[in-house]
Amino acid sequence: MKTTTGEIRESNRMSKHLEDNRKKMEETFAGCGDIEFHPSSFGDNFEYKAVSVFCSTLIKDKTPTFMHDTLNDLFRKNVEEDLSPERVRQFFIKHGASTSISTMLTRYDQAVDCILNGYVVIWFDHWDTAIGYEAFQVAKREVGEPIGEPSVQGPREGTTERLADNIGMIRERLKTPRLKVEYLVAGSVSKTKIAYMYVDQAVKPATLEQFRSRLNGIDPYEVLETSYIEDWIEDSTYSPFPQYMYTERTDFAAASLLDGKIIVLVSNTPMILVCPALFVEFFATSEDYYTRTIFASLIRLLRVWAFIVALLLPSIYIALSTFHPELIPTVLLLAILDTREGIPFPAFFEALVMEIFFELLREAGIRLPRPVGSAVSIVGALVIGQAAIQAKIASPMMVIVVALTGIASFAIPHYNMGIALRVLRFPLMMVSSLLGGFGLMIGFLLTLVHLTSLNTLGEPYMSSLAPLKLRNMRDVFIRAPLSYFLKSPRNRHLHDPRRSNS
Amino acid sequence: MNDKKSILIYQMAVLLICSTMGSAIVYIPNPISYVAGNAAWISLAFAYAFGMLVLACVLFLHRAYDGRGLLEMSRLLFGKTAAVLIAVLFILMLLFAIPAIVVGINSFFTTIMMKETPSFVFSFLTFFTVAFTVGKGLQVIARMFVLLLVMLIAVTLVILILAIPLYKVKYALPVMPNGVMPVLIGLFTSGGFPYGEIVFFTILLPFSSRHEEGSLSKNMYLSLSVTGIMLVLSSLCTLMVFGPATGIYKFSLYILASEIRVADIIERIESIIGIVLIIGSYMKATIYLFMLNQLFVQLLKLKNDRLLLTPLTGVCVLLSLTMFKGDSDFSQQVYVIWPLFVLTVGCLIVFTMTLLTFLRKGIKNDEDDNGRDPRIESDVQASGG
Repeated sequence: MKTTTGEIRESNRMSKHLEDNRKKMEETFAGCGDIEFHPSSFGDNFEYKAVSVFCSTLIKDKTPTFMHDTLNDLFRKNVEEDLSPERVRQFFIKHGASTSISTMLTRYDQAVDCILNGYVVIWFDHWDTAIGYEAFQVAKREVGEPIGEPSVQGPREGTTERLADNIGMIRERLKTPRLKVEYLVAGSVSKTKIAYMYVDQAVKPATLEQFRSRLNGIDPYEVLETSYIEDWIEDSTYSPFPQYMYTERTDFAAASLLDGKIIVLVSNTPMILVCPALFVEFFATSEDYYTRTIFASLIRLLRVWAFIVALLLPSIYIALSTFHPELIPTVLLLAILDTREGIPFPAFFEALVMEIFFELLREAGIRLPRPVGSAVSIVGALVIGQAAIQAKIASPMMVIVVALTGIASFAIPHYNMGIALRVLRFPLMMVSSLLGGFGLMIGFLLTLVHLTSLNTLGEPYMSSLAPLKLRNMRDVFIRAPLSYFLKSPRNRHLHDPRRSNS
Repeated sequence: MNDKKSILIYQMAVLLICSTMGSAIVYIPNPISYVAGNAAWISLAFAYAFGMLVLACVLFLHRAYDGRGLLEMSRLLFGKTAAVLIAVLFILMLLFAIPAIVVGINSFFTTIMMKETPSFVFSFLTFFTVAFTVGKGLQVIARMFVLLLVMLIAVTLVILILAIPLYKVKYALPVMPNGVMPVLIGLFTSGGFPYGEIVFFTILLPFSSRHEEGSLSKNMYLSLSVTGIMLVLSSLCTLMVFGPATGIYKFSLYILASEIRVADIIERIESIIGIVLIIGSYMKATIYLFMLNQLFVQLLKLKNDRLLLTPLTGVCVLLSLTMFKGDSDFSQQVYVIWPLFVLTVGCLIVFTMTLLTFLRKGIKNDEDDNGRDPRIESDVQASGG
């Protein structure tokens, strides 16, 4: 076994002969049309040869001339002496190259990696070492406003598909050596670069340890998006509730870091994974901290109300109208009965049809190009709002209920939580249509038990609510004035680190 | 939290409120008023004092035996056979209590909200939810019940406040129209249910966190006081609304809620109350099923504590469907026989254990100023090491 690995190591080492090296590279990249070989010569009588290899789709326009520039450098500095390969070698070993970042490569696999990462790799005659110059440039989206999380106040900067830029934008906000960035690479083909960041002393050590141990073993998997990581480290994959949060906002990422979260960035995607995310945090946005206290608190309460409406309103309507009409005030009951006159379906079926119709419209609207999307919504609104009522398929009251539910679910700031609501609404409608208020109560209790038993990275998901922590309540349903936050989790790094992990 | 199964002190205190107030808040005003008339709230106040006594004994035992459960305490005190006997008695009590609580829920729904649905549906689904909750473990139960209890107390207080225009003080007078005897009968009923049931906490207290600062006793007394105040308040308030009719209305708090009308905006709020109050019963049933399961786990020394959960739940479902012949039978069993059983069996056992422990401790204290039973002490070291 030892000899074979030794042989592999031997065959991996570059040869002193340029032709061998070149042949090896040509074999490796056979069929890759965008790999280019540029030969050239140097020396007093141009008797020595060199070759540069690069991937033309990955590098800056002018970089193929790197080699010429480098050799020119040499000429300029060494006019007096003759330019033997030995001189070239000495020069590079001692001085390095004048331009850009360069590395010395002695093995073929290093060279292949470098070429595929946008390096120009140059081989010289009589030298078993190649030089790689960083020349990476691929067209990427510019920094723009985050599409998923627009805001009225506060920074408008969103992440892009470039990992380094994203990390830079976050580091710019937290200028401390305590902000740690750790890299790893996953996938044998994609070789995706994954970075996770945390603020030392703000993050709970147990959480960090848990996170690292879960991330272990991801190396062989091809990670193409941050959600792959989410799936990999999730506690309960089959729960409808999201246990981690996504953001495209660098200010939100920085605030999360201060809160003691770990954030995960993956190259080639703008989504940042914030972990762990607690249930109550899905009601908060970064803008809450940029608006005034009273308004921010009212908005938070509104969102909680929206959550309840989006989850329960159709089921409550079904339960009341089918099982407990006596609980509706008489005048309202008469109004409802009036509108339901002539509707051939029971309330549950009516609600189901309308809800599914609404979900359909919503899904169609997302996928379609924008100009067509608006047409869908106009048609949908007409069909749902007007025609369905006139055709006696649904009652106006049901349209109000469904519309209110839909709007309420849009008011939840994080998309993933909205999905959880959409999923849970239907079983709740079902139990309330079968068992009325009792069914609704059972459904609610089961949901609550599930929520309470969920964990995210070892922390209770309902934390601050269950287990109840009154001190943290200042940033759950209301957003207390920022001056009260000095002792909140956000400023945990100021506290005694021993107490922070309780 | 070093121990994964333990819960915080305040959570334990909340569980005490849940199990004492949980179902009592909706059921208790009616039977006590039935027997004690206007003096119902006085009976409840005395019963609260009795509850404090029971709690004191339970806490004393918890301290004296360094946080052991009922089974080990009785083993140390009476020997192995007697311990098994005591455990069986407690199991029988719980096997009555759990179905009774759920039948209470059933009868609430079948008499008031959904008259046509057969009661096995309610039994089955309630027990499913209860067992599901128990299966998630005590920590989840404790976390969740804190939330539910806050809701329960808040809703009850809101009802009592909104009902202020309905109160007529003259209904509450005279305080004791029929002398002391009705008060004593009321005391007997409410002393058994819910206050005597505190003896079950000998099973639960070992789960309280022992690495935490803060006094368990203080928290427990405080939470029992919350129960006491809420029960007295609700019985007093229903009395001031319905007067002599209080004893007739079942679920008096619910009826009270249905009477509330504030400016034509707030009316018909009783359904919310009904559901919230039923959640109280659910909490109590969950805590008791957890206790029952734990008793079996400890008695049979099971490694997997969910092994018997499903069969036990099944037994409870069947019991809840067969145990009571009807509403009057239910009242008779729950408000007369059950308190008697709790007082004569449960409370008597705990009182005896307290007395014996106290005496033995006193004797040992004279011999060496250790403050603890050396026999227990050595046992603690043996099991701790």
